[in-house]
Amino acid sequence: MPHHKGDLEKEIDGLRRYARLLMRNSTEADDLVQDCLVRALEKWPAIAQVTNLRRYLFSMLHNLFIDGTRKSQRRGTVVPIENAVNVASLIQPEAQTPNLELRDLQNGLANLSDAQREVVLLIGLSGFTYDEAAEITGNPVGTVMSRLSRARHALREHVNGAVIEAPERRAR
Amino acid sequence: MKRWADNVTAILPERLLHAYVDVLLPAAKRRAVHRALMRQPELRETVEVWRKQNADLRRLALMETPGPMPVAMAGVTHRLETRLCRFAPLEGLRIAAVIALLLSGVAGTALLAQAQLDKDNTLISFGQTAAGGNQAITKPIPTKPQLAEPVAQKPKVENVVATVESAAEDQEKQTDVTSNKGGALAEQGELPEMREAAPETPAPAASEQPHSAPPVVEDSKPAEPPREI
Repeated sequence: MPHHKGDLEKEIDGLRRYARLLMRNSTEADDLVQDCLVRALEKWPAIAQVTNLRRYLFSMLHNLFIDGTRKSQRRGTVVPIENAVNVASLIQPEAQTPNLELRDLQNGLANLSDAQREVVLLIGLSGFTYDEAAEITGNPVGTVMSRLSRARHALREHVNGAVIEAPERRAR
Repeated sequence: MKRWADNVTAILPERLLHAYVDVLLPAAKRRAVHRALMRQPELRETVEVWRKQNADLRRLALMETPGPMPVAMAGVTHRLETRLCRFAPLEGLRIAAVIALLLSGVAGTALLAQAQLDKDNTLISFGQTAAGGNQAITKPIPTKPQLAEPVAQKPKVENVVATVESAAEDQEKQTDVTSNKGGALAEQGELPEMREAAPETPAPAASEQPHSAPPVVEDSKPAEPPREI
């Protein structure tokens, strides 16, 4: 059964949440989702026939994220001045996130590698199964499971250790 | 025979714990893992931490998500509608073109059949007129040999034979006349030397020398007698 335009619109919020936690930058996350939607619109007659539109959109977003990561690795990361202000605000975590546990979790996510963070968000936040996460990321299920296990242990250690570090994205 | 749930040992595989946390296990396995976790508080604590991580991730996502949707994203539906509406007339035109082609084909076939049945059809008469005009145009123009005088017919073999025979008869008559003339002169004594030669001179064949002058005239001259020294 083909999808309608309303189905595409329903997925925007989920894509934005996932992209925001994945990119840790609201502007870049919205740009990523926008690129994903534009690509979906370009291929709409074909995409309307896919079985699982949500999984297809997340897979498209993952591919765009990987492409952007590779480009930024080649060119270097450009931080606009607005984001520099946001980075400065991270020094005062209480003002940003009233809940300390959530702040720790946010920092712990930032310390994860992109692949581990992606798997944790796909399964823990977006509710995909292991098979679906494997299809979205293009990895075997075993790889997804191992990344999930490492990520959860790392997050637990980070929260228990209560070490507040400046978020620094690890190399993939 | 022991069931799978009874085989869950004290050390649970970690993948089962993750699947239990993410609610991806069937009901039977889920109950078995739950029972096993009741006997292992360490594992139960780990499972609770992971569950809390998932819940905190959702809370964090809700906190991170800004309220209003960007204008560019909000226009996705409008752009999609515009895109679909832009192609909708083309779809209609395509269908109309196909229908028009089918109708024209049917009409053409019907007209052709009617024209074949009706001999006085306009198309046929027009075709005949056109064919007549074409014939008039393509009528051969008289060529130069036809305008010239007709070539004389070749003489037939009988005519040639008759001509040759008549010529031979004329030659014979002429020879007879000449011989008779020479004979008369010889009889008159004007040609004494030829009196003997004349009968010996054979008459030339009419077919061999039909137009040659009779040698009788030269022979009729008297030969000069040898002069005496």
